[in-house]
Amino acid sequence: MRVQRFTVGLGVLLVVAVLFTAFYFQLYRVGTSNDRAIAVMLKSSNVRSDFWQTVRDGAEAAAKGSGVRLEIMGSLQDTDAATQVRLLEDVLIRRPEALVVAPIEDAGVAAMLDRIREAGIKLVVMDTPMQLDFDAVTVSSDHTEAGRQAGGVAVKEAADAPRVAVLSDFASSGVSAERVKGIREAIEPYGDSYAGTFYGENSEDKAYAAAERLVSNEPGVNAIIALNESAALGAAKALEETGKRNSVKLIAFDSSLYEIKLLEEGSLGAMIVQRPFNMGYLGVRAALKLIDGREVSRLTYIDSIVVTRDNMYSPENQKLLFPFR
Amino acid sequence: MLERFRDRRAFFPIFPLKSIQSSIAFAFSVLILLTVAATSLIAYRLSVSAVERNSKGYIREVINQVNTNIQSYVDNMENISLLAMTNKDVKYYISGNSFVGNGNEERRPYEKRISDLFQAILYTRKDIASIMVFGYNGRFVSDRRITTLNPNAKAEEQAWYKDARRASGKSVISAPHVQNILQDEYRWVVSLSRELKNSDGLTADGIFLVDLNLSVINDLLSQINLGKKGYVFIVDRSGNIVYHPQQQLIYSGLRSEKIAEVGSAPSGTAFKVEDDEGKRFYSVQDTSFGWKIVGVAYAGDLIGYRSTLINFLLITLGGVAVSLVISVLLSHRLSRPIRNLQRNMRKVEKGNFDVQAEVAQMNEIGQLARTFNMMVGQIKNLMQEIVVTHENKRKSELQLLQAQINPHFLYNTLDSIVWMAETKQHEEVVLMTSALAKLFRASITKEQELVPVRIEVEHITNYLLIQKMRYSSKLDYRLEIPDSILEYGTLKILLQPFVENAIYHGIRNKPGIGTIVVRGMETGEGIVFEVEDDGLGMTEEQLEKIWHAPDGERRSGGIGIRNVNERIQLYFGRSYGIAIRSELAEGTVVTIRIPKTKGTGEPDDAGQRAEGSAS
Repeated sequence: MRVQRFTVGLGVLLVVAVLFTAFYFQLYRVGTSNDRAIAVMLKSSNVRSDFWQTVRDGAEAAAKGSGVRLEIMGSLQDTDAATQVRLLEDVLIRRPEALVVAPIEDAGVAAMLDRIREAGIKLVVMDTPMQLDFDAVTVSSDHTEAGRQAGGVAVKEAADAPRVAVLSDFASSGVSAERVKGIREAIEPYGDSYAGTFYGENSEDKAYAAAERLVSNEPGVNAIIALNESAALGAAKALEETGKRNSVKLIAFDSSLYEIKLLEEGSLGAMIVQRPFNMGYLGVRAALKLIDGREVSRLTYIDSIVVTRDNMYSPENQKLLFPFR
Repeated sequence: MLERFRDRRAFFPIFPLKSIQSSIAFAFSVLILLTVAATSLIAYRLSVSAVERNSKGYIREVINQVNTNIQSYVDNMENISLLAMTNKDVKYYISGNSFVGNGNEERRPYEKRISDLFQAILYTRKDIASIMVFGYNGRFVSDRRITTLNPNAKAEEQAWYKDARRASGKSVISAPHVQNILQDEYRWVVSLSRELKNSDGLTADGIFLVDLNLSVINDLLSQINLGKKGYVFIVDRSGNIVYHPQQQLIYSGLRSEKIAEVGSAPSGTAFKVEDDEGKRFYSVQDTSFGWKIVGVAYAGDLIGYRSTLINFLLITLGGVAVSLVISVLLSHRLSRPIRNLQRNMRKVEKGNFDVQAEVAQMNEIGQLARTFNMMVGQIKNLMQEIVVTHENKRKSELQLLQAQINPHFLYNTLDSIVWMAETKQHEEVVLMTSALAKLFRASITKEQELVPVRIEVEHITNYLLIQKMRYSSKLDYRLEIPDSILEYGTLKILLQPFVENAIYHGIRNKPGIGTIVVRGMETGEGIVFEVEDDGLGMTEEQLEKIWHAPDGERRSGGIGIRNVNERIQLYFGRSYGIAIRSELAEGTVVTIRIPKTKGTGEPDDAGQRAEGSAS
């Protein structure tokens, strides 16, 4: 009797040992690794959008070697909320383990994200601080801090007597609002330094018109901070034509080839540049951590960089301004 | 015995299992596990190091390939620069003491020829982005017919320009950078620049520039397969990263790279890094132009690594499983004879002494079984002996009882009393009756077997008195008992049978008066009684018959000598007993030897001691 119990005990011990080693060394995986997928929703999948293509590079760098497949998608236009909603519906059907999304600010998108979260898909929000009904893990540039950086440049350029006008896109834009907040925080201590925010939507022409109006109505303005590319281009054109290129400093957000040229020729005083590679990388890393059930900080900020004509060709900034692929 | 047993027990808690089999199995298992673990660990280490060695070799091979490729691109650029250097047109065109006038008409053909040359090179080499010459005289020519330089970028301020001037004649390789010297072209390139010397070899005329498309190197490096996570990166002489797939992460501090270790590693070597990123191998290779190409491969990715691990685990587990089963079987086999023995012992415990353990082998357990068998046999004999002894004792006691109240003796004595009464011999009647009464009281009332010599003497005196009155014409007697032995203990009615025999067999049939002498003596070892008669005596054969008379057969009215002897030996041990000397027509002397025993009041004690010494 005792002998049998002993033998059975040994057998059980052996089986346990085998199973333990099998799982410990992951000799046997639950499901194949190909089944594990993370969907990455970019705001724009346009190959000409350097920013989002770099986000994509970062995402791929993070996924490399992790055994997880990336499904990268996005609407062609970064304002096409309807397409993004449709793509999100697709995600809901395919049910990847996690979704890393740069949402377009839209009620339909927010509703879809809610549904995706309820379906048990881990969610990481990139780029845009979205007003959602729940606390999503967010990986984003610190737009307020970037605004402060821009404001700081304006203060320095104006020799501590700034009078700053902000050229924004839409009043409803969350990102722009945060940037404005940061700018105002930076210039607040210098008395009557804020000349107001003006809106040029996504149109260079409208921004041009707004800037032209601004410089004629507000002659005291010595710095314009353009919150997006079209605003920067429009304002640069207006300042050039009104001959105020030297008296009014132009500070822009984000980078494009046109902006780089403006920076090179001196029309643009500085650019506040995000790190899209890091955003994609950290977004996917956060998703991987969520899948593994590890702890993830709810909010990860990515710093921005002030690029001027002098440092634009430094090895580090070159990489940011001229994404290579 | 007990001490040693206690010592043994001290070792037992090492195997706190109850059965020997479990203990043996446990010990075997531990031994086997340790051995298997040790050997497989060593074997695993050996094979892992073999895999690592192979992997390092593989990485080195790959890095060598990369090196060769990049080197060939650089060599190619070098050759192009040599071509430019030796080209007469270029020389004249940028020469300080100009052969070529500044007039448009004069310059054009040179520019065209140089441009054509550069273009021809560019056609053959897809990897080259651009070829340019900047003369110190302000002239400039490129591979394009119409070249617009970026008005915001001055050639003199570019790193490649300055480095080439500093190197004065030697070619300089730049890190990958964005070439912004041409308007509206922002290409990632690697530049080779070189100062062009005048024919005198001392003064310089300008800077020559060849740009290599970075995509060529990028494609090359990204095609390299070093496992899922492995990658290649390049650092320059001063430790700056030339190329890294995750350069941006390194710049923003999200990732670190082992630049310092790479910097100090000599060319062609590899080293191992193990941190939270995982175990990986760095293989470093220097290029002739100052770059270090580094291949990084993750141990987990390498072919053979995982399979080695799996094989080892499987072999180890299989070995352990087999050996555990064997250990259980072995321990079962080894402990089986012990369990058999144990089973037999249980039977003995229950009282079955006919058990014989099977002796299969003459090993320790076989010997144990044999000893066990012998022990059981001996116990069985002893038990039988005890049974026989008890029976004898009981028999002798019965005989004793019969001797005490020998009915013939009683009838004869009573007849004598009646006869004496008839003849009005009142005094004799009184004497005899009282002697008879004393005789019976002495023998019956006392329950103890062991009595003082005094009582026995009294008894024999009374007996002899009665016999003397019956056989007055025939019997005479003497008692020679010293006072010193009176208080020693002796068996009850020890002497009567011999006196009785002497009367009935020695004296009764003898003509004339016979004398019986009863003597008591104290010797060194004990007490000796002698019953001597001068009767008929016995022949050798008769004497022999007395000793060998079959059990139960005895002469009428007497007790077998053998029984008395046995009785003495039962009580006092084998060294005591009876000896008979007899001579025909002379008489017989019976010598009875008993020990000196004091405690006459405690016969149990004496009895016990006697039994103890007898066993």
